[in-house]
Amino acid sequence: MCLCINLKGRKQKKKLTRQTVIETVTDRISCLPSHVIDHILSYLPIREAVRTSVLSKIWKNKWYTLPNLVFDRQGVFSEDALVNQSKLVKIVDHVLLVHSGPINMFKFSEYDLIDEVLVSDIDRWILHLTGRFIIKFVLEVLMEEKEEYYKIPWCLFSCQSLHYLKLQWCWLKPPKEFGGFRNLTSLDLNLVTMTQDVFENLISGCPLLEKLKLTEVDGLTQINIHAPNLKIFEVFGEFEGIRFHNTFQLVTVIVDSRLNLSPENNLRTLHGRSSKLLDFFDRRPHLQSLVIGSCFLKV
Amino acid sequence: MAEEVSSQMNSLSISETNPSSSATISLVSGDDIVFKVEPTIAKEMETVQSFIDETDGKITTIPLPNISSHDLPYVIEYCEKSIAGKITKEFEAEFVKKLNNEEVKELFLAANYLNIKKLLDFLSQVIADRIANKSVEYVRRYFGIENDFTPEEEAKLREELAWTFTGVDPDDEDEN
Repeated sequence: MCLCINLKGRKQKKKLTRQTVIETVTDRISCLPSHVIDHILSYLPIREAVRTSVLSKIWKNKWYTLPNLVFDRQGVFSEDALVNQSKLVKIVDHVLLVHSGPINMFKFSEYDLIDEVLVSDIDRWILHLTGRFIIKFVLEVLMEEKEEYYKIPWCLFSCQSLHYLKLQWCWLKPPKEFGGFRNLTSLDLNLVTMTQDVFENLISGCPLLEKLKLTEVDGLTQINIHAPNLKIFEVFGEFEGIRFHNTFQLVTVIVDSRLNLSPENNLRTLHGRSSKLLDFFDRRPHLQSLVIGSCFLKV
Repeated sequence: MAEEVSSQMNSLSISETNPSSSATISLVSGDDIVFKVEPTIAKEMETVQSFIDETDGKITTIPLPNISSHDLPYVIEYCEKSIAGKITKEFEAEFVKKLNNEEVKELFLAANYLNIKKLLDFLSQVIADRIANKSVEYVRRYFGIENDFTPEEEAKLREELAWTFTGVDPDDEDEN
């Protein structure tokens, strides 16, 4: 039983004390609109949010409109639970099946090696999510074969609702007609593999891109960036040089290499890089912060 | 801190313009206590501000029947800090320390009613922290929820959602 009394605009015939308010309406939280409850639930791990189903009939469906769906080991199970992946798949399927309303974010992180069965499940989820106008998508997986990466299915490349994309251990090979993500503002690629062409088309096809982070991206030697709105650029890993085209809004640039290059190799590549950095300074009027990793400072 | 003025008038008759206090906004709690605040504070409270705007600023006494004189000072304190740009982790930690579970809930409802986004975000986090890893029975007591499932319905639901019951803390006595 849930009693809700809207006191707004109601003439007060008697003095209302805090006590009388509490007595007449014992459970005002349950009566709040779903977006307000979603707000509380969004601060809970998904396991906790879904468990509120058992509170009462009015709560049974409340989590169905949860805007952010985060599936990682901590969120789905308690810390040290040893659970096989088929159970994880069932849980994600269950949540996606009953979830209604917009999905703001979907995140799936699995640091146990994933097998081929899970690969096809992830493909399936991505297909489902692209039809739900998802705004943020995060995928962090580790493949069974060390050299193998999860191949992003083509349907994701047609998902124009994306504003935020973060991928780890993935292989990006979009269809030929791929023209970029028109609404993407933030891109974070970690241990991703792709060709030089794919990278350049991707970046120039995201005109609103403001934040780009590249960590150990495989397949790039020369990083060419054409991003008129880019403000924050971070790059970690192995590459020959960076070149910016029509990218004048940069505020923060962080460049670092964690590689242990051999002395002669180090020297040769660094000469090339230093000259590019000089050129770079001349044309960045908004630049406020530039961090260069230790390898580069030896010049 | 707001100046507290005990009022003998009922909230209808004081909803008139009082020229002498036009510089400040009077917020009247559910138990008829008047809190005089600066207009900048009212701006933080979207519900209050839109009320003022709708009447072209002629009415500066706003009845807030859902909010008690016990809870309103906390809301005002938070808004004052917010305007001063002094909402820090330390302030929030101290602020929440003063509040028992009942007060957190009442302030959450007040923040929702007044449409104060920052306070609502903060209290959502506080409530989530307080119910995290707690049993279903604990959370029911926390929110004052009456269980309207039959034992069979509840058992079935618990079975379906068995994966959500890992890592639940045992209930303790410290509930308020």
